Amino acid sequence: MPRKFLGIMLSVIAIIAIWAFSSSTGYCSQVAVVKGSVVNLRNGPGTNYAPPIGEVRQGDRLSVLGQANNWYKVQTAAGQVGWIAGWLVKVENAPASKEAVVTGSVVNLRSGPGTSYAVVGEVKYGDRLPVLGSSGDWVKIRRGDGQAAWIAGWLVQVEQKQGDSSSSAPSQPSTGTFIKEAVITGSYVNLRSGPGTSYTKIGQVSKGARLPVLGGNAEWVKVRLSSGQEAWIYKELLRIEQKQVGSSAPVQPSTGGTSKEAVVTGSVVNLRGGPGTSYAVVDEVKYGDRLPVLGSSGDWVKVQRSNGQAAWIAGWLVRVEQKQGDSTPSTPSQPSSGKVVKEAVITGSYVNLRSGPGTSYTKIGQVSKGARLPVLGGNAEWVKVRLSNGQEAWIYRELLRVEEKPVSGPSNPPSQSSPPDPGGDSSSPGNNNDMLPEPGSNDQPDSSEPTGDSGTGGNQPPSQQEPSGFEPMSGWVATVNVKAVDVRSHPRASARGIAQATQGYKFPVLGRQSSWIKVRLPSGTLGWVREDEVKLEALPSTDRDADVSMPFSLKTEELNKKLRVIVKSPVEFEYSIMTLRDPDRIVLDLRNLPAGEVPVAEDVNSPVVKTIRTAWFQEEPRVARIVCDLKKSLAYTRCKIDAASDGRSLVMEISLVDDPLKDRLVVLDPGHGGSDPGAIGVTGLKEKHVNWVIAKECAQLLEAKGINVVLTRTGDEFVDLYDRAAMANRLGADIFVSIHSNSNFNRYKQGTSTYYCATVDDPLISPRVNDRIRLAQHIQKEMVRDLGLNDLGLFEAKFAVLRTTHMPSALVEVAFLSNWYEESLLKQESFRDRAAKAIAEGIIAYLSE
Amino acid sequence: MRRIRFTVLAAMVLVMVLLLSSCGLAGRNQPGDDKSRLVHKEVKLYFSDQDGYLEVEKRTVEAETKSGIPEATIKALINGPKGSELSRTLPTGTELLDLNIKDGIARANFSEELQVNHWGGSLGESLTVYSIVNTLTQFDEINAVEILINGKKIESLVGHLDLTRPVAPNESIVRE
Repeated sequence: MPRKFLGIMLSVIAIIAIWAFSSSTGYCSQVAVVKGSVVNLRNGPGTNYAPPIGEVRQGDRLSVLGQANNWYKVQTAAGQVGWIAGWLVKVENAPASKEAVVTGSVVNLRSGPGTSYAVVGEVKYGDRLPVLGSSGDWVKIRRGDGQAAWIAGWLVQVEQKQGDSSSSAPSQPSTGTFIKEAVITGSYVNLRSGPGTSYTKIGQVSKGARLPVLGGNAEWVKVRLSSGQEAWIYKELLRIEQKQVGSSAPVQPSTGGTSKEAVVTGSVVNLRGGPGTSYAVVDEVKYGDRLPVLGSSGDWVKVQRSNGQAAWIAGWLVRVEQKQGDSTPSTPSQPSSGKVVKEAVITGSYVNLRSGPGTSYTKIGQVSKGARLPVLGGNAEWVKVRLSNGQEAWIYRELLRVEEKPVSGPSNPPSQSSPPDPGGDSSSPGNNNDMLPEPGSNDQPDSSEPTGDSGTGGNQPPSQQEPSGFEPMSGWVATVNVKAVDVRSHPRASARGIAQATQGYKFPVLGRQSSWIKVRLPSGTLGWVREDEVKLEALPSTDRDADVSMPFSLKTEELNKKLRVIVKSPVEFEYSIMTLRDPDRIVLDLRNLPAGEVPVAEDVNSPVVKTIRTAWFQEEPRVARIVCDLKKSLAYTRCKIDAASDGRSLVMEISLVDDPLKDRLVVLDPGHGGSDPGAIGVTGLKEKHVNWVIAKECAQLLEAKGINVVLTRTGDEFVDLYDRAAMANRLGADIFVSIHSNSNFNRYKQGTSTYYCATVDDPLISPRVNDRIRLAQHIQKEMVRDLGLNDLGLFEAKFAVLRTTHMPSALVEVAFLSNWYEESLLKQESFRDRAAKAIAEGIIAYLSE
Repeated sequence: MRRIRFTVLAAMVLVMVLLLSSCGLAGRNQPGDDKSRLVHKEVKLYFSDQDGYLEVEKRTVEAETKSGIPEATIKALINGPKGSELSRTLPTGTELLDLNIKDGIARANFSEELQVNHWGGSLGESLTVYSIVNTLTQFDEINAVEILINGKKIESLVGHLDLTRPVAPNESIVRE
């Protein structure tokens, strides 16, 4: 009796919950077309709702009433309501006759046909959207809510919708449409901006990559890159294949038709929408997972996912076996015995990967100690291995040992807690099984790649499973669209914040992992930001200049009163720049470069730079240092850095000016304002007013010297702290000075003080900590000399405006409003003018040094 | 119809029984009202000195459990120093509404008086914030402090220090 009672109660709760859920969603315009031959209707969203309450047949069209998990609540033509498994139906919007099937993993919807339009939503791989029209490369679609929006045409596949009429005749499975794909056959093939070698090289692509063909001529083929960009490839370095699209259509499970299984041998492996890394990641599987094999193309295996959908997996990360047992594909089988594979375990600390067996072959990357790579063959001196991106490479035999590893699945069913691959190719931390994007593949283990579980070897399960499925992106920029974001060391909210960036700040994007975007900071440091705090945009093609065939190189270009130092590397590197005095010099540090010779700079004959010196500055982690000894002092020298979005090259431009104050921009920040009066003096003088008057006067004095000045507020108005800093960052100001008046509970306190922020672990701040202190020192010194109040000195403080300004910044507290005497001074125009003059002199002294 | 009404009623009764029984379980772990079982601890309170630095005043606070000590300490900090050489760092009228400690972060939720009654200034703000943060981080289980006003996150207390993220202690503002 109690049991029965509980059952009744649970079903009542379930029905209430389902009713509450389904009533809140509007699916009235959608139709579910049955794909399975005979499919059960159930009382709730799951097979545990037994027994079935009815049956529908292939081709039946059911009105969609709601959705839960992967189940749809539907109504039959006869009026019966029930739940049906999502993978056994195809859901369509009723009226439109064409559908756009999303082929990118997560794709923005925009308000107009171009990336300059606002993002109005996003859709995921496999989503189907009714097509309303198109403009150029963009497709106009209807969103789930009925609104129109635009989507990039190269991230969808437009298909004729099946089963347009309401006939219940069984429809054939989708035959799809055919598109042409270029399969790269050359080992490293250049991508160019036009059909000829005279066109700019815009990247490279590695063997086996597949790119949609857009057109071409007799010699050159125009393709679409995964970034959406177009590129040209020489025809002899590829072959063209017809590919069927729409192959992601649901496949009916338990047909028993497949007799082969793919057993996953990588620790965590991506499933993709097509046979190549240019296709979107649709899911991931773990070591030991078994997937029914549906077919193959090149090195890629088409498999059936647990939800019945088809997907593709890299052939070198699975072992295809004849299926054991009968038609129960999801049951994990016992490990197969007896098979062994050879693995190369790297023993040298940084070992070169080459395209052939000899040092005369091109270096195609490096691999670090302890990495394990499957052995493909070799000769007496050289071993041929397979890299995690599928590429082949050669390694000198003395720098590795070959081990035999038994291939067997784990003895327990694959699950979240199953042990990681005890060897495998998990040498590269992080996204080891993911391939890198074209152009410019890179098999270099990225030492800065955040690692949740760095475990090679060791049988303990990873302590904190980092979600794998890192998806590299190139040619994208992320713009901060909230007040301030924390850049974190790892893709999770609990990870250490390594920097803060304000609204409007743009980061080059390296990739994505679930809802986190991997970005590069201006120092070259890598970090993660939350996807919903930034806006992603594709870069125009001219901003990209990657060339992996180049070794680490250093070149100089002399122009009139300018010197350009150009650094290129085959791998991503981090950089930081600092200035040192006596003798004045600019120091550029490069991290993560491959081991080897540091290129010697050519002799320079420039009015800007005396000499350029290069050296390995540090081992572990390796830092290459480039020092430019200046001919004139730093005050007369300007330095600008322009880094490529792919992190593999940068241009440092050093130039001269006649006047140290020329082309300078100072942002002055009168503290508080509007609804925020700041401190209130002992007789009622408002801080916001004093700050404003001093800042305004100071601006005039600076402008009289030819310095450009911007104030963070235009009058008595409230401006957010982060917006003040963001303004200076956006404008690219040389310095930022915030002007305040102090207050304290104890009214005896008097004097002048200046604050600076020197958070050394923030890469946006650390390279110029010395300049920050120097700026604060100059201002404090002039203030004390001109005003004659108590010298309270300099203070390091994590004030919002100091911490989020990327240029040297300081906050001056002129005097105390909470003190009777000092408040009376702050009321006097002559005192405020002297304060303004002192601040201006401090700024000029800093800029002239 | 009657049957459904009965089952819904029965479900509600069962839920209530479950809730009540879980309260009972939690209640068993709480100490009794016996005053002799109060926990006493000598703690450091950071107040402002004449020069605008923080100085420690030692005080013994009491609480019903060991986990109540940080809250009792902040309440003592709000009440101000006993020594005449030191000044209060929190405005009068301020109340500690709630103190939660999780993963090394103390979330200290104050009433709005902390902000609206504040005297302002970079120094004034620094002394207030770091008197709270340095006082709380003396406890092993607290590494940083997040200051809330009426349960809401704030950008800054009075317009200087960044309070959007937990604040770590600052020794440079302390004088021995």
